[in-house]
Amino acid sequence: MSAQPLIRSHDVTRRFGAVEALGPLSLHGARGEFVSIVGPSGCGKSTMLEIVGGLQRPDSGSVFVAGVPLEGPRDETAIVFQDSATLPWRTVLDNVAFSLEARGVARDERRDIARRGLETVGLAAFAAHYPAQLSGGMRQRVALARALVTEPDLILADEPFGALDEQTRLLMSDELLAVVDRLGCGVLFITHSIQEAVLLSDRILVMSARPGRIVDEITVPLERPRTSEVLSSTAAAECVSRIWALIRREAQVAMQGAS
Amino acid sequence: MTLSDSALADTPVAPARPASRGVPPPLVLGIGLLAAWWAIAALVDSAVMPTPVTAVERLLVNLQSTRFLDSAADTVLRLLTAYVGVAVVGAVTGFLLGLARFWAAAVSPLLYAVYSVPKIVLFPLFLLFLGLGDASQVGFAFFSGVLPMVLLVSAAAAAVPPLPLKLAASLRMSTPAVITKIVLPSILPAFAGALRLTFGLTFLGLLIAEMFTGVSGLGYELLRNVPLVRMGDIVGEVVLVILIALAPAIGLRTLETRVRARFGTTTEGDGR
Ligand SMILES: Nc1ncnc2c1ncn2[C@@H]1O[C@H](COP(=O)(O)OP(=O)(O)OP(=O)(O)O)[C@@H](O)[C@H]1O
Ligand SMILES: [Mg+2]
Repeated sequence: MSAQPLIRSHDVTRRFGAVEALGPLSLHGARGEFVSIVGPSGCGKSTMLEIVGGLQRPDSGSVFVAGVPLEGPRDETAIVFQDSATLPWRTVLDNVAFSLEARGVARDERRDIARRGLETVGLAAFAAHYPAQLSGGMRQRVALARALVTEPDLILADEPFGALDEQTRLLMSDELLAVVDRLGCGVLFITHSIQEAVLLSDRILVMSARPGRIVDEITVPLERPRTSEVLSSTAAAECVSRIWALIRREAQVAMQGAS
Repeated sequence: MTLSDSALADTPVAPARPASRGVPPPLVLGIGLLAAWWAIAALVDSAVMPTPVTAVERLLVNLQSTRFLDSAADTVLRLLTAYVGVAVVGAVTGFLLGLARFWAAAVSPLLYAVYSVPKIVLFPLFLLFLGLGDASQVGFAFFSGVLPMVLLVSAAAAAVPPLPLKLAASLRMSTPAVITKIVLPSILPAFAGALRLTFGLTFLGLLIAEMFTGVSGLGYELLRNVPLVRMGDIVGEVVLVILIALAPAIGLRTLETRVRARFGTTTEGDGR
């Protein structure tokens, strides 16, 4: 990993009233590195993502992004939220262009860029549609395109493919890998799918049940650039079953702790 | 599903609008009611219940008189003044109230309390403070419409969905940009609904005020004819009131449907 990581959090905690939602949690991620987080529902994954995105402040601990203490949202970070967050009154094209509009990019230019972004996610034909005319998975692709068009150095994605069917999920994973390689950006990626985590990630962090901490870390032994074809390799299959074993143990511990 | 989905995408553009085919149901109902009126008028004593023809005849005669025309014009002008006031003052107040949680929490219960009081009991106050003329009539009409406008708009402004706001925050949008690009479009459907609802309430308030204090206006004309038992005139005026209300009501309804289709999170109407 490079000398100065893109993200470094140290002992981050967050509580909501009496609920200890998160931590203490420490993680790091480098430029160009794809890091996935898997963990049980409600363990604080979205919370951690929003903290790294500068949308929430941790109650204690520190977060550095690009070597600077995080004070709030930064321009070079793009967030894909767990629900697609499309604006119903804007066309698909103008939804994608929205992130550029916020940066003050001129109308024609941002629409050109947005059109290319829509091609990346396979929705060029739907530019003039409204979100209500799209399926949930398609809306999620709009949100992904909106994040990608700003050419971020850090992408924070909260289960962006959760609503997609298996085939589209694989195709989108390939597209995401290609874009990430082109931009050379770091990615923090939340998913419920172990296969997806193995396909996409350089490193996978396994979180405990709430309050979420990192309990395991797996380095994926697969070369990049890669495509969804690696999933049929024995190395990938071994990796998936190893993570399964880890998570099963974690789930058992969590259940015993709860009873 | 392929990645391009292009087969589905031949005809894109605006959200679907309810199809209007053949005779619109409201028109059918209107004609039906007219027929019923006619039948009843034919069955009962015509001195109490004039036929549509008599009513319209009386209306046409009245419309020849300058005094009556002036009265109708007065009503329309007062209605316009009050309604513009309701729309502007109500929307701005409601919007600010919705954004300022503290004030919304402090003021809303009060507004609901006042709203639930039958407004007519407060009319003497208007007379006391605004006198017998236009001011108290317009004031009362305004008062009849403005509270629902404030309540509906402030509820919508307070209920802007959090996710678009989070998105805006992550994009570091300025507060004015958040207001124009997210908050205002989000509350537009509620505002359109409130515009439709408050029009009727404002008009009702005005007619009542005119009945009590007028020296002109359709409300005054209506009541003036009661002791004289001029049923043809009265019903003729009711027809005129309906006609005056009809065009804005249909227009506002259409506006609301379109705004909801374009700006609403879901495409359904409100079923009323
Ligand atoms: N704004 C909030 N107010 C109160 N509690 C919250 C808030 N946000 C999150 N929590 C709580 O914090 C915990 C972690 O929530 P979070 O959304 O981060 O979980 P998650 O790991 O993303 O779950 P999922 O996989 O279901 O999306 C949950 O118990 C949740 O109830
Ligand atoms: Mg979550």
